[in-house]
Amino acid sequence: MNLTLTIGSKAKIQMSPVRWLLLILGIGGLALMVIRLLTGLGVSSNLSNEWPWGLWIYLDLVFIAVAGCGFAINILTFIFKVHEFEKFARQALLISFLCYIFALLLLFVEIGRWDNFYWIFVSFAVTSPLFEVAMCIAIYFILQAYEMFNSWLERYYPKGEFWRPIIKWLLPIVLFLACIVPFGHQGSLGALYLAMPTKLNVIWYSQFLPWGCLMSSLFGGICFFAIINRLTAKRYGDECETLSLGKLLKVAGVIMWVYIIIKVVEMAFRGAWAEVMSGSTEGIMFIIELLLGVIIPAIMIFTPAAKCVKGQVAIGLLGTFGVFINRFNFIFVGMRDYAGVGYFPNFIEAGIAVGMACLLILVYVLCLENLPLYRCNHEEEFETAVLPMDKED
Amino acid sequence: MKNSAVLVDLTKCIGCGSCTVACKLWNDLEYSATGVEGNAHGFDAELDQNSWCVVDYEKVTNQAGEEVLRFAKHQCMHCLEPACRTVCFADAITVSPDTGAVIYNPQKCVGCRYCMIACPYDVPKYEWDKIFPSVIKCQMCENKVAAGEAPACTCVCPSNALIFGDRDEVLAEAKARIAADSNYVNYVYGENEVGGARWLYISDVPFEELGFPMNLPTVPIEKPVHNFGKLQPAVYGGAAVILGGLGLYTRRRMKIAAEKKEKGGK
Repeated sequence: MNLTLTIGSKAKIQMSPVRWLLLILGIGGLALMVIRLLTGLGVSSNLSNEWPWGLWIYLDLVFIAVAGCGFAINILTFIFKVHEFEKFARQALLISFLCYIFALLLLFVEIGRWDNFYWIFVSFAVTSPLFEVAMCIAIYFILQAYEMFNSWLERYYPKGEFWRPIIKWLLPIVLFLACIVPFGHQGSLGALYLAMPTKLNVIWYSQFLPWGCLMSSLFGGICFFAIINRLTAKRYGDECETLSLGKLLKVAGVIMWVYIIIKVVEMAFRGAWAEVMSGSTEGIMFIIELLLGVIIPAIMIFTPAAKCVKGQVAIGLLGTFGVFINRFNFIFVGMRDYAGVGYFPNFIEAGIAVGMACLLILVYVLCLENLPLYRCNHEEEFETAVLPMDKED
Repeated sequence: MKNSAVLVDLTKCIGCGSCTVACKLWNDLEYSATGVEGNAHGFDAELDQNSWCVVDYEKVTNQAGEEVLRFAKHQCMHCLEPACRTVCFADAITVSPDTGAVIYNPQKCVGCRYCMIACPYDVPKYEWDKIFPSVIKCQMCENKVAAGEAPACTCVCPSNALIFGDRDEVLAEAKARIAADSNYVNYVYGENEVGGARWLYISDVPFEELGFPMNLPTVPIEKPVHNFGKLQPAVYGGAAVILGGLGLYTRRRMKIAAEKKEKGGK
């Protein structure tokens, strides 16, 4: 079961029972994906005329949002040059990149006419928020792939002959664009629901919805990163990251408080608090969302809890939960009343999502072990490749 | 006809379902049973992939307090500024320049189903059982109307409940009928709903009792979406200028700090 496969001297694939399980579930997910693509949506999903959007769209919105960790940390390290967070930058990039791959895979099974997908890029239908989402995700995906490619080259062509000057010349431009592009699509993902003024519950329906999505992608992304970072540190070791992570969470905390203040005032302005206090399911779900998902982690971040591992895990879990339940609320809970009937994903819908997630977790650990993305695994490369490049700027 | 429209006078409809049959014949649709009566007309008849127009029977109380039957024809409302077109990111839904009808082009459709969830009348339906499905909705017999004829359903109505014509004239006719007869509810449904529709309804019983959504805003769905969308160039530009400026400032500050350190060291 514990197989180690070495390719040349540098690539090493270690398999353990857990990793075999991830691989098997991943292959199962791929098989279900083929079934979905060959049978149509009626057979392979519980989507209906009442619920044209379901689990896949939900997971797309959630995972693009938590992929905001790459976006947030890129801004902190590239724009503000916060030296302390530089060791997080590549790990965050990898997490973000894999979240985007996850979302794109699910998007591909979600669209009914996958054979027509190229029309998105030639239609130029600028009135649709979905157009902006699709274009920006595609552009951002290419930018992230470029950054990943750079790490791959560092690992396998460390001498750097012909490519090094070109890559180095372009990298700051790519990093800068990667700071700008997500401002559009993170908001536009929330703007999708601006087209449903009579369907979406008044608690969530407002012009603030897209801006809330943008802000929650920043703090939710950092919280999601905190969990993954702690899990990774547990596996591969961590000497000095707890303090830095606490500081990173403080950045998320500031954004959370801005979000809370705007949200509370904006809802009072629209008179939506009456609906929250009416005791309806929607109101209760909103209170859980705001209290457990934003306010409590926002308080915890500014207490000593944020400086210890356990506290950081708790904050990370609550903040990530906040993003998950926020998207859940405006996609399902807020639309439930209008739809009239219920929706629950079937085996194939859930199976594809679980399978893809397992596959990407496996890719994540293999990337961390083989590419200079995580400091503890590749101390040498970090010293020679990552840090000098930043010093030269 | 460039500004085509249909007036549905619900007081005249006898619920025969001829329009649903004509629709299926002209558009070559399969028979499928919807509703309690098992037809495209009857109690609880609903639009589906094979029924682009249905006649829904409703037991309602009229103004005199008697229980009566009324028949509500449902199909795509053909909005003047359709939500489905606004949200379609593949340009598969367009407004015909010849007739004003809202036309769906399956060749361009990617199948995201955003039109279904955005339509305030829930008109677009999906071919869930097909491997390469299309969105289904009334096309207002586009080529027939472009050639100067009327939509199939309006041609066959035996009781003259469906009147096809220029939208301004049809709207004037609707208002004239309401003014002439106090039995009508003083409301033309579709005149202002989400920016106005090409299918207009007048009735002698309140529209909410016939299953028409009455909470629709008078501004098109495009408005709230565009209110956000129009800010996007400013968001990108602003982010680029502010973050670019801050980035340059940080670098300059670090350079000065490094130089000072160097001087201090010497």
